[in-house]
Amino acid sequence: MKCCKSEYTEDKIKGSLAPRHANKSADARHVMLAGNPNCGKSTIFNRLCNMHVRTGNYPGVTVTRHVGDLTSDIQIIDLPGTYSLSSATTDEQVASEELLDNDAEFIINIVDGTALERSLYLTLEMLMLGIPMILVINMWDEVKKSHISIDIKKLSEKLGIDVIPVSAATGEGMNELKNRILSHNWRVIEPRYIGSDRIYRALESIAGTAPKVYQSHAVFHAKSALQGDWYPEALREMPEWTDAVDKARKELTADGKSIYQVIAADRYEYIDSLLGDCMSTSEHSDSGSSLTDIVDSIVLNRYAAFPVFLLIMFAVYYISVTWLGGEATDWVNDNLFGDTLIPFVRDGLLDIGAAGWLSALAADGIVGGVGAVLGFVPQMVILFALLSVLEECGYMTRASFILDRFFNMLGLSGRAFIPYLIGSGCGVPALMTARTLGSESERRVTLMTTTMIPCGAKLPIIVVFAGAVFSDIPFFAPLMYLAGVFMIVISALILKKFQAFRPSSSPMMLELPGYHLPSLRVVLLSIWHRTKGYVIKAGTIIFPCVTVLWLVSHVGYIQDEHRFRMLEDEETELSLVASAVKPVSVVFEPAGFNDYRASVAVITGLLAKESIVSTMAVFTKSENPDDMDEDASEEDVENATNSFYEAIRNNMFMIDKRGTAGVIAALAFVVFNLFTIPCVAAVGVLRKEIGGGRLFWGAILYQLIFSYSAAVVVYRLGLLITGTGSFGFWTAFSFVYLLVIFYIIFIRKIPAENRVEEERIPFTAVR
Amino acid sequence: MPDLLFHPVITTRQIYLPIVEFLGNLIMLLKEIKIGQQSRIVRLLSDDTYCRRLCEMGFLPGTPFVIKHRAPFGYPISIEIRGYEVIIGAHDASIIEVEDVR
Repeated sequence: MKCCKSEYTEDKIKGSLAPRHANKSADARHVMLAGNPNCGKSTIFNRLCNMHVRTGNYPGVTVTRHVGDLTSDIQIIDLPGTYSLSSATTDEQVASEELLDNDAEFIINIVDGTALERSLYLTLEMLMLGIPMILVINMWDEVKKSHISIDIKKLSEKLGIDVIPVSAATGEGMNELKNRILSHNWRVIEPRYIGSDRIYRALESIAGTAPKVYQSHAVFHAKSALQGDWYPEALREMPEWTDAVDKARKELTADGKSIYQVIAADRYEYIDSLLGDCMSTSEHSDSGSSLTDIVDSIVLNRYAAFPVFLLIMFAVYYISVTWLGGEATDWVNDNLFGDTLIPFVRDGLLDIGAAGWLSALAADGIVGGVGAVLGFVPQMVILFALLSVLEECGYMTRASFILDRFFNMLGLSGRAFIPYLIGSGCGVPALMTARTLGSESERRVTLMTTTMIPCGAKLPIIVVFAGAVFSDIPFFAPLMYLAGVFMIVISALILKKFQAFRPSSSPMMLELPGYHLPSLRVVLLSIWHRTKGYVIKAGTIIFPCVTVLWLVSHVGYIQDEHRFRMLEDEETELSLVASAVKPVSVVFEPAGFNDYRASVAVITGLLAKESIVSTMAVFTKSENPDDMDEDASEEDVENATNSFYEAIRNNMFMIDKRGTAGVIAALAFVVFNLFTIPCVAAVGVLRKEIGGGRLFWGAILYQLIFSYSAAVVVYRLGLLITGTGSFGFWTAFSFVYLLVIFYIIFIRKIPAENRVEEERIPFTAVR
Repeated sequence: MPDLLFHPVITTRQIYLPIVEFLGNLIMLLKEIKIGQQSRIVRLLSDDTYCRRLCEMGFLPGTPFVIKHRAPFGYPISIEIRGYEVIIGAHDASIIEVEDVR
């Protein structure tokens, strides 16, 4: 019988989920918020600690624990949701780990009042730990509105712990909860098993054999041992303990039922009888269908589901990228930066007697470069608002439901939709969300491909190119998102043919939450925090980046004069950055964008994707005010954007000279930047989440090769199709590359299962 | 005795088919249930990780449930059970044996 976890997994859960004590201070008392997924833990946490951690109306928003201070000596710890303490996914392991840790002094078990029956399952399991605990029934406002009524007092008596009804959404009962924690009246409870005598006796018989050191959690470890979960190595090596476990398991499963079923049935039986006493359903139980039922009858309708989904997705990205967002960005860029701020800074500095180069640095370099990024703030606000509404309203799990079959073809499950959607806002939280996915291979594929969805920082690239080069193509921006989806599909189909990413099945169980109208407060807060992050990045990464960039692109070493000096306008080819990057830019020759400025943009894009746009802005010289006609103020508005766009068109891609070839090169440039390795922040998270080592470097290499080849294929085949280029080596390369991909996707077989690979889930099925 | 020779031949098929059909009407898998049909779980047909998850989520023998929705391609299925709604995949739906509640 195998019922023990290998040491490998033990190390893994102990080690990989670091930083375990990063923000936890040793002298504070620790209060854990624990409960099922999507029961409102994070919302309560935000209310208690006045913080803003990510919330949403779908299971699995919180994937790592958050620490907040209630007072100087009490810390609140928000744990990822879990249905039981046996943990099938990484985020659930975090919760179990923290609770089994000895410094959990007080557990606040939060349950969803509208699904009490299922929620109490975890409550009974946690009572076995013997840690002081209270039960908080959340969503009390909805319970009161519904047809059920709960007898709080009776429930508290039966469970032997305090019960507090709250509503995190409205704030009702939050003060009482706060006072209860502050009172320090954390009644010590005995670890106990509530349920039938039969199982109680079995657990006692096992727990009795445990040495003194382990007595405090002995009942719990006994239960873990019965079910084949993780429990301390030392106990596993004790023959009397393992004998007792085997004996008890044999007794309990004598009638042929599996041990899980026996234990779960016992617990649910108790819950049923408990709720029979404490909960009553009023007569008017079916008075019309609920809002959720009505909406779902359309949204989840077999025929309407797909059209509705596509419509929602199109609406979100069309509104935020092209229509409303585009308008807002144009307005800010033209009026604020182009027309007002840049000339103002330039003239202002010249007026107070600053040197010409300094005013140019400030105006063109800093204001122009940072402004190119800040100009997209209104667009970010709209995108973040729409994504936040989508996350809060409850549609996310519905989309997973609808798309599950589609994702199955890629070797993924419907849940993978959630990281991809979050990835269109920012890749960093999206990569972390991948933790909620069931199987390791699914997690790996998702981690490697999530960043191919254009994130908020890549949106400026799309918008700028849509305006500068592809203004004739309608729906260019939505098409780029579609291209992202296409690249993910291709990648997933390729990856699933390799051993490390071989699709493995995992239980697809996802709770469908009821619809909620997103609270304005939450949406506004979420917009504020995400936009703040974007603006801060403009100050901390983009600002130094453009300053340095402007300097190195305007200073050059003049061979004849044997000295460094500021360059004249027509000498930019001699600048430091030009001479440094030019040899490198040959690399991009096959993809058509071998101008050194494009290469610089690619390189700075690795720091933060939005710096691609600011780099292009630095290379754009704004009109000298002296040259400008005084009467032409009407045209100034046009000029500001035009000179920027023109610089992209004619300097970077030489569209005026190369014509169609230049346009295709620009497309290849966009394709490469959208689908290549993400910014450093996301790469760091990727490294941590994928587990470092070979897989990480494999992921980076894959993303590089995949995006580079895609750019080459776009450019070379584009040339061939439009008849602007001849058949050459790289055209042949493109065809061969496409053939290889075709072979992998359609002909190569999924490799045979390789059992040697370690299972991540610290759980072994008991038979 | 000679009568027997003229007796119509009974194949094994003729014997077991009606029985199988009769049992088939009584025992169904969750995946065969129609939307909105009140049903009850009879037993779980496996004892692995899938079964464990199902048990923890309250899918136990005797538990009543209703299928609320099916995804456009048939799977997954959304089920209302124990007062909440949950999505389960094709594999789960094929290991749960159910009966009608009439």
